[in-house]
Amino acid sequence: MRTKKSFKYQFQEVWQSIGMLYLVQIGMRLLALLIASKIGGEYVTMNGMNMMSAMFMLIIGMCSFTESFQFLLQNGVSRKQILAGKMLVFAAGAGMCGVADTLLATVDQKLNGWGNIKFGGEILPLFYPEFLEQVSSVVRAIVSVALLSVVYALFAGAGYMVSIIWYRLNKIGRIIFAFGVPAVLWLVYPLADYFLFGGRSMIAIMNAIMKLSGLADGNPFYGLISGVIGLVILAGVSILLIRKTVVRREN
Amino acid sequence: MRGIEIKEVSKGYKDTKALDHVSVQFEDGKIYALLGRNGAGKSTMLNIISNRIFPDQGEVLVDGKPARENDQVQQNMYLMSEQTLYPAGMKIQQAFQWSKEFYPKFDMEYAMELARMFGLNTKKKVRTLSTGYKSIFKLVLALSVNVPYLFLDEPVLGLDANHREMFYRILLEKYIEEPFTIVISTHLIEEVASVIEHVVILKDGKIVKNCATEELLAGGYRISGKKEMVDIWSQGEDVIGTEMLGTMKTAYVIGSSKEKWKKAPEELEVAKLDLQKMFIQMTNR
Repeated sequence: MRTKKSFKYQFQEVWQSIGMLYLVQIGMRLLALLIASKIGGEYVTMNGMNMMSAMFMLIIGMCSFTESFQFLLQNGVSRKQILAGKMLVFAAGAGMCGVADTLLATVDQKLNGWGNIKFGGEILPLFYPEFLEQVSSVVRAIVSVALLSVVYALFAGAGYMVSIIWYRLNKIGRIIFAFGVPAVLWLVYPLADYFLFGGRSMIAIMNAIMKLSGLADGNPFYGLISGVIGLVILAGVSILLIRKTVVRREN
Repeated sequence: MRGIEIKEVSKGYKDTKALDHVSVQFEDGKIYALLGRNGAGKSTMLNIISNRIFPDQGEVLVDGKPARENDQVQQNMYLMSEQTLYPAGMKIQQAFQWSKEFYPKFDMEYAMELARMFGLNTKKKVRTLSTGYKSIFKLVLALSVNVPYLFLDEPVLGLDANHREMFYRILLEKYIEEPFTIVISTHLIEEVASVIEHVVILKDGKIVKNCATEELLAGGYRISGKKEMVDIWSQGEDVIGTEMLGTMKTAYVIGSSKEKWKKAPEELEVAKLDLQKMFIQMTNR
């Protein structure tokens, strides 16, 4: 019962933003069509819409912890119910975005070539082109919705996990986190890998990602399974983080 | 067992012990005052009961069930705290509607009526409220949720005298209509003294007094006079504080017998001790 109310409250913050996102995406397409119809010559390309949705979900995740956590605790909701509600929100939101992006991709395909316009950059045709040649449009649509939903849920979940960590850190911790994470990822680790392993650990990680995501085999189902496992891991880490989180005095 | 039981709860922040092995019971259907100086541990105790923070040791039971991370228990209590945990961009009316979702017994009509009485504009957003009106907003919610256990942490912060009087009157009316457990943490002891039935006094994270208000006040006296006379008459009494002014001495005693002071000589000035004075003497460092 509380999970349902937790979901209802947290979803009302999100669905309007999702609506705005797709209004913007539709608006951008219309603008691209207008530009394409006015200029001649080479193609007018438009891509990256899936990445836009993914980044949007990441931001949703990162911005959705503090206010809802405090409000729901004020209203007697336990941390596990807060998290359960949030997971359902991400599932629903990611699902909505997955369906919307798949529908818009279908429209994009129909519009391709019209007035020199060229839509592209979608995940499924970009990463799994051989798979698409072998399946029907119905299977393509189902896989597209499933894959995009999982990817978007991963982004949202990762953002949420980061926001919980951020909330729990003190001032010094936040500075270390803000500078430390990028420094480790883009400076310390690459240098350590180069000098200690001759760059081999990075290659191994990339190969693992290629395998787990199905990119190596051109099979999106591997990506789906890996994505779901990733979601379970994120959920598990978030549970461990949120169960000890307390209301901060300065908030 | 109905009521709230705090069992051997301790909580520390860095090098401060906010609560030190505190054990206390808040019985069903009574009005309590939780008193203490700044930093005594009052807000910490209330935050632990309402699952906002966790104790380092001990546990809280509500009607025999653990309060920690227990939705069933938490939906039977409401804490109105100094912190405003409502989203800054939320309208007052929306806050009422959401409270109704989480607290099914929330009385929307009553909340709107209280808002009207206090002059609270329900179309405003939380961030636009002054300190006093933030308190009023939270008070209206607290008075409308209709839960068995209500905690009010500095409920009249920023309220003018008129609003404070209105609040106490409304609180008593609600309580008389249907008794429930109320715990008020406040620094305005004189104002709350007439409303409360039981007093719990915290000092440095420990409970120094836990008894019925009537019982505490019945035995409290201020004795003034020449030092020698005051010393003689206060011998054997529970003296909680003394003051000297030249050769004159004042002693504050509690738990004393009324009959004894009836026989006091004229040179000795004996007066009843009020709750605020009693509190000050008990918690002076």
